Amino acid sequence: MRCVDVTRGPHLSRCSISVSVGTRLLVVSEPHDSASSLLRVLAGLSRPHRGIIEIAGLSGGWERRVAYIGPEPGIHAWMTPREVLDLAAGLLGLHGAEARRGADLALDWAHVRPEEADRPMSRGGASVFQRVALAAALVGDPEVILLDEPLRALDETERTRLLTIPGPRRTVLIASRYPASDAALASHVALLRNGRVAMLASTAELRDADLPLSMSGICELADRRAAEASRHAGPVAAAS
Amino acid sequence: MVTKLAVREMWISFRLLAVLVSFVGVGVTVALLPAPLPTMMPRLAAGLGLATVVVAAITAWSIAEERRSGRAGWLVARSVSRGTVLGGWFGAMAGPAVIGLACAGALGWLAASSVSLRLAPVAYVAPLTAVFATALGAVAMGLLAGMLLPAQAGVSVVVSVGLALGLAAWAAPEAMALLPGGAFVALGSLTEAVQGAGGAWRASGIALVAAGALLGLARLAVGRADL
Repeated sequence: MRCVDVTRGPHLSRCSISVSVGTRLLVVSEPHDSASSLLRVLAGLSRPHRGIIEIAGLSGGWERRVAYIGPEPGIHAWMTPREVLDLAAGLLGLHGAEARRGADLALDWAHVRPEEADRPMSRGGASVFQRVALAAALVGDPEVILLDEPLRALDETERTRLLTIPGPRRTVLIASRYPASDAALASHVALLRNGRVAMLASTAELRDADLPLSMSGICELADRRAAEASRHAGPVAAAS
Repeated sequence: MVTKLAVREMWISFRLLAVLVSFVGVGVTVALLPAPLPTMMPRLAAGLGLATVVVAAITAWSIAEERRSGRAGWLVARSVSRGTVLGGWFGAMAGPAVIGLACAGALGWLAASSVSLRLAPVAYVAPLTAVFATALGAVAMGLLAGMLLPAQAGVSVVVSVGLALGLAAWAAPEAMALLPGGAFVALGSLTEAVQGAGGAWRASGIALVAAGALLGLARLAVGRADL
């Protein structure tokens, strides 16, 4: 997945990033809206004013390979979980036994109990909405999953379990205000500052630098790298 | 599919009922309060004008709420085009409005024919057709406002435009000949003596052009909106 010079409103300004297949990338930003904006642009919910986006080598038409879960579940309260999954499967072109199998697996993964699956979601709590939103995202077995502050109604252990979606070739991007709570989900972190990618690092690099996977730890690593880069650039700049 | 979802959402949230009741209520009120044509027709026109503003406001509220709740985004993230979402909501709002308006029109005709036998059907149908076209324009205006603004702001704008047109119709009815609200003036001025349909057909044309232009703008707005 590749973004080049993506600009959208005040939150993304010539943002460029490249994410390889299978990466689980935690995206944090100052201010936070930039991380959300990046995921919304990738999901097609916001149109970039300029820039190039490629997912799986395609510059468009990737909707069936990408799933987005935002802070709002985006589901009608009067629908039953099974209706939501049938609709999601139908929109992805899945029908019959294939759709039913996909829906059952997704409901099972999201821990939607059988007695909840056939009654309107308005009778359940916020956690049912969020579980069903997750199940609807997984029904098409997407290659790329974009998680924008998802499942905040669930406790941290359950949330981490549900979002640890298996698949070595599955790429996951997580926009988070609370990186420490998403530490178990990420293999890499990206920091956006002023709408641009200021740092892309693996979580191992944070550990090696004795920094916590928190906003302050990520910012500290970015500052250290920036200082190091300016030290290296100093003599060259002076010579030129 | 989007229209079906939208109609069901409107039904569950009583908004569909509000649209139908606002139109049918006008017809029922006019039918239950018999009066000579010069009194009845302005009442019918004013009532249908208010109902049209209600439909525009409900449309603006609904589409803004679809954006805020992430439901429009949920569909777009699953390969449903933005134009299909817009078209689906247009169908879901325009359909009930047209049905309600048809019922109100039928009740209005029954009431009018009970007090006058000299009212020509064509003279009544022409301004009613213009009101249909204006209602479509109102739905398009609601969609545009709801796509550009949050729910409350969208409703405020739509109601303000509706009230401004209503005031203009009351203060300077002759000036309304070239504005989308002219349909209500044509319907309100219908009497046994004044049954010319030319003004009404012109109002239909103006309203349809306005509806088309507003829908085009709404299509542009949905293409750029954050869903």
